[in-house]
Amino acid sequence: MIYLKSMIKVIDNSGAQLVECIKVLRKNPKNFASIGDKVVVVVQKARPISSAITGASAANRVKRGDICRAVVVRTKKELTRSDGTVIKFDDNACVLINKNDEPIGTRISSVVAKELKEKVLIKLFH
Amino acid sequence: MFSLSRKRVLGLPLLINQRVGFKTQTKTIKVYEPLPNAHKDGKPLMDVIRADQYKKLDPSGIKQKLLDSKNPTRLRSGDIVRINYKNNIKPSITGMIIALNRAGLESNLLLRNQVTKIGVELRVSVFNPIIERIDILRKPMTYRPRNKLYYIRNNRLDVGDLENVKGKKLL
Repeated sequence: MIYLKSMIKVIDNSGAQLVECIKVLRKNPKNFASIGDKVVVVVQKARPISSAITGASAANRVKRGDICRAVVVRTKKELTRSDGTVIKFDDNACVLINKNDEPIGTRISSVVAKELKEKVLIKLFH
Repeated sequence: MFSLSRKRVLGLPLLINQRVGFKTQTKTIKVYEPLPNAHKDGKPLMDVIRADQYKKLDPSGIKQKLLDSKNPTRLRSGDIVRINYKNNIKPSITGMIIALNRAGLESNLLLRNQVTKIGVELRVSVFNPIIERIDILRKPMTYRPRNKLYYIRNNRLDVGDLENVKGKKLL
């Protein structure tokens, strides 16, 4: 259940660590984002930019205060699958993307839900 | 205030003489056949249906035995189990049972595991036809004093990485 002001963990190597949701995209205002939904976020905490990182990954890095989009990949709220099993994770997590639904980072560091394969057309999940 | 005619034939209209004020009126009421008795071969119908479902979903009776409270090797919260699917349509699930909901055919297990230090919980129906079998991998020496182990989440009693998996994994 992710809505306005929700703090979400970021699990890719874009540089952000913690983001705050400011909008759930393409949903009724009363609804909340679940796994596979896109949200608009503000970066609240980011890793410091060091000179060691060069190339494409340095150009894509985000700073504190940046506004970008994200896909929700894990939620605390339980999700029922078509076979009747229910899955829930211990935290809320997301992956940052740009406006063309391409991931900003290049790697995902931990578990994500299987539903992303069907719901979202992002290179990283395939 | 009314009298029934003596010969009552099922399925046929019934004539009733009803007295309204000073006049006696004749009223026709349709009498329907009674519903079939909710018994089948002398047994309550729901018991027959339930037995049929068990026969269909669990012909060997192994899953029923796992939930039987008299069985010493039954499933209990605290056990580590692996769930195997038929024809490997899905990868098998490993986890510790932290809750066991006994509800007949709708009985389910709440399995907890940690994958890359993130807790994952899955609720799985025991009698789901896509589940082939449930293996008990480990039983604890002593059981915890509760049947629902929700209190072990995120503290020192929490389960570790039961299935030693590295890197990204779709769950």
